[in-house]
Amino acid sequence: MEDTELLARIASGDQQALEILHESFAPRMYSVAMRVTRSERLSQEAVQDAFMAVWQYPRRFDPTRGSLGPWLFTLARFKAIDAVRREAAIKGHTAEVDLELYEAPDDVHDEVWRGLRRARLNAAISSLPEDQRRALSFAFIHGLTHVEVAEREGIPLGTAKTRIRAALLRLRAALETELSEGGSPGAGGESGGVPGMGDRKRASEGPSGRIRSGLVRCAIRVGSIIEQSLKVAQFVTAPFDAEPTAAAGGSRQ
Amino acid sequence: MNDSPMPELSRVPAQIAPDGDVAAPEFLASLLADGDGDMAAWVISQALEDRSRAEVYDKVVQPAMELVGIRWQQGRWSVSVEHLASVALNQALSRVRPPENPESRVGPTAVLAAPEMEQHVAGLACLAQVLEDDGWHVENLGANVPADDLVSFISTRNVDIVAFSIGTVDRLDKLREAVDALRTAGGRAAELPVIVGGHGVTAIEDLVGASHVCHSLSDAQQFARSLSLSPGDNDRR
Repeated sequence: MEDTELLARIASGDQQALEILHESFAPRMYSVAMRVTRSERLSQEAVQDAFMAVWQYPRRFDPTRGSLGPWLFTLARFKAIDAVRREAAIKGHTAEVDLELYEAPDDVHDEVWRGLRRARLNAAISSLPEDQRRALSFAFIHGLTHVEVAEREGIPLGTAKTRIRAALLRLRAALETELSEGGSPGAGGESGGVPGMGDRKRASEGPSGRIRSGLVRCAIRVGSIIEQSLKVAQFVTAPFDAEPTAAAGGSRQ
Repeated sequence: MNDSPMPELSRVPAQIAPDGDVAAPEFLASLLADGDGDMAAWVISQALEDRSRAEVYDKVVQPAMELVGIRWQQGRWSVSVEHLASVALNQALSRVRPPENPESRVGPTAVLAAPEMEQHVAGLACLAQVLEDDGWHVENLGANVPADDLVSFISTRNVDIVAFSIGTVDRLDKLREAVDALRTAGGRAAELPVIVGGHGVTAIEDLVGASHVCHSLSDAQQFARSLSLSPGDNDRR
């Protein structure tokens, strides 16, 4: 079957055509991805992402600019680079969280805050729909990749990503609301706004300054968590929004 | 955009052998234009597992660089991208260079050069490796070699073949000058086998004084082999 015919069938939603394409090219695309990522897990993800891009935007392939194979190899390479980039972001993110968790372990305020934060996060996570909660848990607690989440749940990769993304957005909304309502104990009520770095000094004044100071630090960390959640949401949603634009050897994606 | 749900695709078995290599000129060109010398080297080395070096360079590397040139001419890629591709190709070629062996140090000697003002030397780098694979000792002088200087260089060494390459027809005159300089130098240099090749010689109808006009690396390799020189022949080194 001609490349263009195959792509035309994919564009019309022919699932079998995509499977044919997958069978023909996936092993070589995997080799390309492996060369970039040196990781089986990331390479599997990259290949899946590449085929998702082909499925969603088959008309991006321009036969006048080259043949299908090189286009797919190029796509796999870009997706593999994306996967490495995401992985690096996750590692950086994890390091930040770890640093925060181990900061001043003997500080009673930190201990109090950890409990509060855990409770809030748990409450927010519990409020998620069951399917989203499970997907989020697999991805961020059990450390599964999106592909593995999809496999575990028996759902398409795109659905898995959608669930995780939706869950993160809901969490963000929940924690933002909490902050804007002065949800951080001891800080929001008097300042009348979202507590931040500028509130530290004011919060430490008065007879219960030490406790309030601790609570303000808690509030600052809520902000930090939201920021981290936003970062996670950003990279999770990126594959949805990015359209493949690369023709083989042509423009970069 | 296709909004219908994507079918479930199986995982790619990690141990599966790739069905054919990925060494397509378009893919290599895109890697070079991205400056990815590492992956370009991998692509070339994959192809070298099944095919001869001359064939891989003729059918994959040379067409890839031609694509780079075409896209530059079409304005799709900038001069910087073209230069990046050249540097990446050099990096890749250095990684897939044939292993050195003791015999190559005493093998017949080939001197490779681009004539004065010629800056395109990727073809020479490829030819160097093809000859090295056959046991030649290669002295690649690279770009922009003045004819007089080349004659002086060759007259002081024991050389068995001289190869010139030009990237464009604009350098044809300089190529003629270089070959003429050798032919009129007298002594052994005047009788040396001289081959010319590169993108710029496709328009050549006569031999410009050369022994052979090569239209591919395989062609150059065949000519060099026809000289029937082998390691140890060069006992004056």
